[in-house]
Amino acid sequence: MENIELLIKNAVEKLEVCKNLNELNEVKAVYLGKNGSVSSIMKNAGALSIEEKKELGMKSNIARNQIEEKYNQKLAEFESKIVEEKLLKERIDVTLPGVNFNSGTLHPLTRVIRDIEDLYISMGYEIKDGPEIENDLYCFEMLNLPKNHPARDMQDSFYITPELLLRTHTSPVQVRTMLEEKREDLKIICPGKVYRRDLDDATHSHQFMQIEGLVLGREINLSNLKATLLAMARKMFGENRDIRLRPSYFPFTEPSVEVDVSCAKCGGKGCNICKNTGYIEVLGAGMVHNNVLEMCGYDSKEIQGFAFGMGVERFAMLKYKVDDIRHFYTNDIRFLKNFKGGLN
Amino acid sequence: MKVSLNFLKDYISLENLSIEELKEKIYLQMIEIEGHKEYKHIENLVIGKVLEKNKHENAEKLSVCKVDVGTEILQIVCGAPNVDQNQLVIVAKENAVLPGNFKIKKSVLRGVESNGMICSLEELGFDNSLVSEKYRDGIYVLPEAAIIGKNPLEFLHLIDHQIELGLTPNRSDLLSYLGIAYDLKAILNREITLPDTSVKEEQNENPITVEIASDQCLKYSCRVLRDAVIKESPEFIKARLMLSGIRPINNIVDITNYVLLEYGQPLHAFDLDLFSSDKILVRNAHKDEKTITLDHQERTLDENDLVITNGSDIECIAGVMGCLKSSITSTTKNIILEAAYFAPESIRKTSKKLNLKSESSVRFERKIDITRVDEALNRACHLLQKYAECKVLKKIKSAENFVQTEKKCQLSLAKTNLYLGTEIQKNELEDILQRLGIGYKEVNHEDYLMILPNRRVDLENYQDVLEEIARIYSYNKIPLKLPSFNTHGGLTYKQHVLRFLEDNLSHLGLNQAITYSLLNEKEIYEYTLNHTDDYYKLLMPLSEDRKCYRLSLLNNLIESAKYNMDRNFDHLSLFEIGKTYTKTQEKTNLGVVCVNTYNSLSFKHQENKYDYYAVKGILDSVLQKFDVQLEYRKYDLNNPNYHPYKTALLYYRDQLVGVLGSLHPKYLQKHNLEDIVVLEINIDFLFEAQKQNIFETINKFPRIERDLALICDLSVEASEVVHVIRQSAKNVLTHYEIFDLYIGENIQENKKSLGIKLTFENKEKTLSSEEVDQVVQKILKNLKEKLSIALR
Repeated sequence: MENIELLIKNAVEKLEVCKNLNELNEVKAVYLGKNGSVSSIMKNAGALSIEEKKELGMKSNIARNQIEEKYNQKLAEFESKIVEEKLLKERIDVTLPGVNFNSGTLHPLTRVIRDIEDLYISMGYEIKDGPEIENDLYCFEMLNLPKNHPARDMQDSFYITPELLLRTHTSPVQVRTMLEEKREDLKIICPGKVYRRDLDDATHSHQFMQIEGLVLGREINLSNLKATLLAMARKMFGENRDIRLRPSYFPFTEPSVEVDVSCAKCGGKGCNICKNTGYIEVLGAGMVHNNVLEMCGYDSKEIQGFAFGMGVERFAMLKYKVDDIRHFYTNDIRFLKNFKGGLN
Repeated sequence: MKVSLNFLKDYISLENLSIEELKEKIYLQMIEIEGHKEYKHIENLVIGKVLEKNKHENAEKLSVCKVDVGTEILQIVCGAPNVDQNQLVIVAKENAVLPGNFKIKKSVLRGVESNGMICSLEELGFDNSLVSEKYRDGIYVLPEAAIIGKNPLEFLHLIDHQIELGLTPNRSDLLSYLGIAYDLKAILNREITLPDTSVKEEQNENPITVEIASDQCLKYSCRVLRDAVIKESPEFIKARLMLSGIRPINNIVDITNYVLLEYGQPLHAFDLDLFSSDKILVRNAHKDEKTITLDHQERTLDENDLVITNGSDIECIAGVMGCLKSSITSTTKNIILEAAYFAPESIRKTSKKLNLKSESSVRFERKIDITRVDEALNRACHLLQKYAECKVLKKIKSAENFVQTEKKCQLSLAKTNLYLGTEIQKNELEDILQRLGIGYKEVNHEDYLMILPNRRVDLENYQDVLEEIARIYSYNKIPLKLPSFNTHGGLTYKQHVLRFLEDNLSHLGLNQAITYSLLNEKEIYEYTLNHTDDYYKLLMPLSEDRKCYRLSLLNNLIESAKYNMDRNFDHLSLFEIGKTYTKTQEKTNLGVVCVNTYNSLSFKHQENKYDYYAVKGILDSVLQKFDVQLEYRKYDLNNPNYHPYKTALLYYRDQLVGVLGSLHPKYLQKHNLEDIVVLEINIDFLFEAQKQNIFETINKFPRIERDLALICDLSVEASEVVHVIRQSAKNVLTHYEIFDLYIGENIQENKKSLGIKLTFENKEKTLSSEEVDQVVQKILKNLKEKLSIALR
């Protein structure tokens, strides 16, 4: 009997000092194998009584269980060590850069146009497109630009023939829409490229982008224009912006106003950005001239409306703090990649 | 228009109004302000008298002067050629600070002590072009009335503010001090003071007879003045002219300019004795009629030019410039003074043709007030009596060529508020009208008949009046209210497509570019797929490089890529979506230029080069969105700039829509370009090709895949192979993928190996391996028969 306890003790001690899985299995075979020590306990039981056999059997089971338990414990230890070693081998440097999927960019002018488009779409506007090569009639005549207006001079616009030119503004799209749709309630904006005969420098470009808007209805008034432009100023330049209207002149609107936005940097107090005026001129607007309405098929006694127009580059320059308009057309990859971040 | 505040104050009180407040009123209610310059009092600036002038010992051009400045006698070294003994001059004493922060200090000039400076007007901050010719190259000399030791700027009326208005074309009334005063009257609600126009007439009658023989002259008036004394104008007139941007000349010319500034009415003075006739005939010039103008230039005129003649000779090009023959000189005694109304269009044309722009022509072009022609003439005569001792002969002699009508319109209070979105009250409206000088009569309840003032030539109808009301009421008092009616906004399908393309191309690594639409004519066909002569060409381009509207986006896209490559940014990809035009067609194109790799410098050494297949993959990837099938065909066009064997032509429904591939190596070399991949495709067909997304039941039966390694001739194209496979397999083949292309060792020369994975499915039942094998056999049989293809 004492032998069995000694056997267990020896077996457990031997299992304990095993250094690897092989040793462990060897020790296991010595004690628990077919011809192992535990199995041989019962081999010598032939002379014992049934009672004694029973007891010896029980003890031998206990011995088997205890040794197995120890074996399993050690086995688990070795296995977890092996897994650990394997994982360690798979270690990576998590600080190395990710695979470069090299995402591209949208042009900043596209971003500004989309911002403005989305705002006006949310206010129920449609977006209208039109040809860049326009006839004099739509570009000028129907917009009440008299024959002697400087814009109609060969010096100031890119004429192709005396009747055909690169449009100088996107207003002809308004004319086309009014003539085609004849709708009483109209809310549209017209973004697009325009051309003027200016030499390119930091603030002038012979090609640039414009967005013009037109709203017509029976009761559309100057107050509506003001609220609309304020909404845009806040969307584009920040919630705390304010606008200010002052007299101006455009042949196609009456009254005509210049619209200033309070300076984002100083909030109206005056700083170097706004040249100490507290405001920055951003666009022109006004109530649609009756002559334009009549020429485009509307009864100016019944229908009135407002129109506005802005330079996209000017907005982009203010928004992204771009200092030279030529950047927009040079397509320097360093410039374009600037506009990777942000959702707009 | 440059405005002297002192001048303006003659007509309207600006009391209790700071300069900043005044500027804000003008800016917000009248017109844009382009500049403001203050001509300040300068300490230590005094009137002095040159007592002695001696030559400087060591300097040819310098004089050493002894100058009495009242409190002391200063030795001053002066470099001005016109300095002389007994002159009254402007002296900047020690510590005076002149404009430009120029501080006067005691100094030694070439060994001679100098205790101050004798000043020119330029040194006091006036543009030399405004200084009368006499003093332009030297110091300014004061008249005898100047008192030694006193403040010279005060004496010269040069302590003032100058405000520059940025005029809009409509506000010609603001080209005059009276016009500005009238507008300030409305804005500030103050009264104005009109100039004195009284004339003391002589017994003798004006002998001139006036005849108008052109419909471009609507009114012509003149007076005759005798015994004029030509001299310098009084200091206040000179100062006011200078601050208004006009150079003083002599009292006669200055006074005509002074009245031009007051009334906006241009005047012209002739020397009566040189005019050599009692008759003024206004007519159009004859073809090629010549005359010599004041500036000694010979001018050739034609029937479109309006001229003033003495019955036969041209004496003046109407409204633009006088002729030399009868111009005012220092010896002039007797004068014919003209005030007239010439048609704006006529003056504009002549002024432009002769490239002569003057204070007069600008005003005539923008229309003047025909009802005040005689008033301005009288005002000038009043001043000429006062400052040139003229005798004014009896009567204005006039001819008229127009019918005077009142300018009227009708406007109601209700319309005003409907239009402006305001709640202006009846009394408020009437007050604004009064201030504006608009006459009104209530013809119906709160409905007015209005009479518009003639001095506001821009006001024609009720809409113009609405602007005036809004302006005087103040734009910034108008409430904020968004339009009340509802409409459905949104993008059209086409606009969605464009945004989709932009978004997806940029997500796939391309950078959106926007390039100029205009090109050099020489380069117009560089990348086009066919020659067409119907491109648009500008009549007057700014340069040869920007002369024609592009036929291809690639010209300037490649130019942009080159710009970057020249700066060593040579892994890049650009795309642009834009228009091209021929005379018959507007197209929207997508252009792509890719250079080098799209993910270089990875530590994983997986460099991926932009090649034909990469760009094709990008295009295929975005086109998946649409229900379109592009065909890539061999390049067989005449344009030699493309690589003939690395370029595909893109067809949609048998129409050539684009090109994808490489440029010809010769072309690359010539233009110093690296190997780049270009794509240009007309995308108009996408705006119609809307793909319907319909759910297809997921097949519950298993699929079977087979990989085939095929050996085929090098000349056999993948599309041919696929075509045969698809035809052979019919509908059990649901998918195929070309996963391998091999050319080289272990393969016969002129052959290539293609690896194709085929996926078979049947929606009704489980496909058996045997069935698939049969299909594959059929495929192989057909491939062999039709394309001589064998299994590897």
